[in-house]
Amino acid sequence: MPRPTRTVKEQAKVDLSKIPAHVERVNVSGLLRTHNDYVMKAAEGLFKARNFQDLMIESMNAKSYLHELGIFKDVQVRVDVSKGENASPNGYEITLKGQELSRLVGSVGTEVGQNEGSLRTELSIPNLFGRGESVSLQGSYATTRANELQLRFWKSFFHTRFVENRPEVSLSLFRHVDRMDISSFQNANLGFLTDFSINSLYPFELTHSIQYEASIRETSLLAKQVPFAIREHCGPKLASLVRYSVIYDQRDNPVFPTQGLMLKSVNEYCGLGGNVAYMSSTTHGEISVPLIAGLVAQVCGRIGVIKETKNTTVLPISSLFYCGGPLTLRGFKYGGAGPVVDGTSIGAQTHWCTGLHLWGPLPFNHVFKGLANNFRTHLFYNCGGFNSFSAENMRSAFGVGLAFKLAERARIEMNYCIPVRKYASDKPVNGFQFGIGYEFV
Amino acid sequence: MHLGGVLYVYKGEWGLPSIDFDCLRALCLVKFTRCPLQIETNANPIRSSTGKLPYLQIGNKRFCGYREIKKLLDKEGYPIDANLQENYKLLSPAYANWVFTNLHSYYYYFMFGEPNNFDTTRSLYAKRTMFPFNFFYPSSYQREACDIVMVMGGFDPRDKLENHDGDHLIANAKKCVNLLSKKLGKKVWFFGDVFSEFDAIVYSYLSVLFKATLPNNPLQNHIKGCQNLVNFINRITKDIFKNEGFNSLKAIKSQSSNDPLLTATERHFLESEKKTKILAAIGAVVAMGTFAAWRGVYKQFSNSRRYYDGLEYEDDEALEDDEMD
Amino acid sequence: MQSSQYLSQLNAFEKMSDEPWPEDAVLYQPYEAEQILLPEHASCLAVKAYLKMCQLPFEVRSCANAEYMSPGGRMTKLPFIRAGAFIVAEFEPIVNFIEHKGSAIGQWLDDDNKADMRTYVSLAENIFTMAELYISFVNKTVYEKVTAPRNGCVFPWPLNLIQNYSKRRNTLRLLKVYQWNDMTIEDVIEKVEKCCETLTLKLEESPDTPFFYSDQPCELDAIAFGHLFAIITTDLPNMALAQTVRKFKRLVEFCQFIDGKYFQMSK
Repeated sequence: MPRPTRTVKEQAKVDLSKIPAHVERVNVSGLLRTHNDYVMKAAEGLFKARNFQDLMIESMNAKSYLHELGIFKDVQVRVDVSKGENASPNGYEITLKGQELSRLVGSVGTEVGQNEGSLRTELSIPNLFGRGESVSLQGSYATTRANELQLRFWKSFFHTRFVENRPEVSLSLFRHVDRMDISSFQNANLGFLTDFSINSLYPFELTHSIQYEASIRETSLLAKQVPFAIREHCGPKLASLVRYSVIYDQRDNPVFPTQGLMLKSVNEYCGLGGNVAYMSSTTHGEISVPLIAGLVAQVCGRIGVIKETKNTTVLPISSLFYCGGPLTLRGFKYGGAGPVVDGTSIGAQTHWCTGLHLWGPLPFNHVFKGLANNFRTHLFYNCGGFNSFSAENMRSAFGVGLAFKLAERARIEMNYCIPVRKYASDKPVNGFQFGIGYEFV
Repeated sequence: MHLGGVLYVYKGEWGLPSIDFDCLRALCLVKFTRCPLQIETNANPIRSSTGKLPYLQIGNKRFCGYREIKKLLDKEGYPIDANLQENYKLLSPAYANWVFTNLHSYYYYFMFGEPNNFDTTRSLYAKRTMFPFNFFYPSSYQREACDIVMVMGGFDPRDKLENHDGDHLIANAKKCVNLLSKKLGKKVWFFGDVFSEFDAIVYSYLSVLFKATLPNNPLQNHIKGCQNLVNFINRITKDIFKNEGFNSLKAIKSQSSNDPLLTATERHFLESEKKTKILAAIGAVVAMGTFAAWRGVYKQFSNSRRYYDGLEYEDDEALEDDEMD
Repeated sequence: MQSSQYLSQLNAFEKMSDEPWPEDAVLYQPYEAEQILLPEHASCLAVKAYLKMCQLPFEVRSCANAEYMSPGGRMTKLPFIRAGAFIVAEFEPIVNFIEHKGSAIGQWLDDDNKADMRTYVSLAENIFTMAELYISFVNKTVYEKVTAPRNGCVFPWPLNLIQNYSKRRNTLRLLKVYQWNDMTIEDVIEKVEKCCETLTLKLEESPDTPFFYSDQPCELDAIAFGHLFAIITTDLPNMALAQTVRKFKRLVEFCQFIDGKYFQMSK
């Protein structure tokens, strides 16, 4: 029988950093399909521990590292005094006991997209060849817009010496159908995508992603009477594009940040072969500053530009920017603050919008206790425009609303909006507006 | 050719010689030209290379589908348009083509595409097909109808019912029927006193659409309004297909009842009534038997068995006694 | 979904449209030199001839995705015209549309003759279009040498392969619906011959006049010209159709007459 193990609790009252300790052995058990070298990195930090506190911290790190590798369902850590002939008095033995994911993992769930909910099913084979390679087949069916089917293969390189940079490569075949009901067309996209993403640490942490996409985009109409300007775009086209996106995120919380800055930029160059050519760039920024008594001031902004290149014959209608909507320019319907052709909204070539928010906790915060942390109230003023960056063509609205945090990622907003500046062709919403998504202005 | 030529078609219904447009067309060819062929309604579509009836078998040779049958009849000296005037000979296919353009999509949509109607049609075709295939063949017609309606009607019958854009099919079909009625006038055949392929095709479309009992068939009443077309259909049905002694239902009719005045539906009803009676009788016997067994017969039976057991036992004892003696 | 637009539009302009023919009407078709296929070319030519016979002004615009822009139809879906707010595709709907505008030719025919003429129009359109589709897509050499390269020329590789495949599949389905899929080339030639005979007979009913019905043009003249002229002037690796049509001297003369009267004048 093994000697009684010392758990963290027993040692809690003692100053752990003064107890010398070093790790003599690290066992990782439960590896069935995984190759040993894939989990090697987990032990590295442990051997550096010189006292018991370090040892505890490092073993927690090792545990979370193993979780991140994405091969285990569950990981348990056991710390034991070292045994055997060569055991030294302060030597410890660490056993990381993992339970591997099964060969085939299926899941069904709901997902939040930009202003839509979707049902999503996924079937994946994790850890295909024993070094974190995975294949998944996922389908999602959304209430309003997009349907998607994707077969994806990805491999992460967390086990190499670039663990800090979190490199990951993926390759996917996809088909998604995007319905633009307000413009009465839909865009069916069938193609493949390769993606390489990596974090760079100096001078500050950035997440980069470089993608290449080749796809057949087929635009077709959804309604009987459609303006000719939209009808002209019908038919299949071949797009071949590179996309580079970079994210800088220093916020303390992705949904209700109290301080920090987030910047995200997506740039596309389309026209490497194929017969669609354009250049587009979208930048989204968000900065939050804490004020007194739990109040937070927030400024958000977004700019999007799509430009012709030398080869452009016509800009694809599906890549244009829609102005207005509960996630960007509140107080207008989705696409309701943009250009209009024969009474039908279509996208614009450039668009911008900014929002000023004053976030506050729910009144009578203490009554609701923990639940209240999921709620915020806000006052907002947002304005935006398209095709020019002057204030002339500007639409604006202000209002007050309640926001709810959904699973640390998404946000549901219920706002009472009062459009201030609007034009005759716009579709304003004067009253309650409901928005759900993860990236708001 | 004259010996052993057998034309395989679907059995008729509603007093018609067949329920299927293509079969009717082929039957018309044969009967109009008085080609001496045997007609067989007990057929299996899997024997036809097109996967559908009609097909014509002569010896080991099979001629599948309307076009091949027509070609053969033309070759063998039974051309349908032979007696027509020269210019009518060319007009007959022209008119036939025009009727096809206007009625074909209507026919297929309301026979197989319309979901409510298809339930009826499916059972009709299923009854006329052999056991394992009856699950498959009716839906092959439905698939064909989908293609036809998508190409000629411009919508997909597999779509939701409210997206079905049948109005223009109906409008076209009605216009076509009006023109046909006008063209026929008081003539016996469309081209006067001589039959033609055009007559066969009009008869085949309209007789089914007129006689079929479908839940949704807007053209039926419209045809009723054109008396000369109704006469045309009834006359061909009665004169050509009854007097020739061909009606697959006659056989059943003579078995089920000797009343020659019954229509197909009545006969059908009688037939189903007979089935119901047999079923009811079986049901009644089973019910009565169960009740009786539960209430006492069983009890008595078991009593008697106990009694018998006892007897046997006594016998045994007696036997033992005998042995002991 | 797409095709139902055309139906609703049919209904729409059956109800209204008292407005005159707009000055800026546009006829859309694929690129004539590089892209257009024989059946599409024929039906475009027929519509153009009809519009010219009606003396209606129109502009021809070529675009690569004309077929996809079209609201749909029974056969080639091409050409389509845009007149004001209306978009109408294919010969018959266009003729109906113009009739509702009140500027159609052939109004002088009585009802019987008109019904008769419609029958001929439907015959000519069906037989010739199907024969053209047959030769373009079923005949292997024509498909490989002409149809596939022309149809795919507006798409970059590999989209052209996919488009060729789907176009061929759709066409074969269409031929199946019209019961032309299992024919041999001899059957097709025979059908075309019969149709030409019928047309010749009709043309000879009024031997003194250049048109089918007396001395004025009508729809039948337009559709017959469009298809016959397209067949005899298009070079294909298999000229069976053209040879068949050329046998009918009377029809060839008729084509030359219409071409001279309506097309050479404007050039």
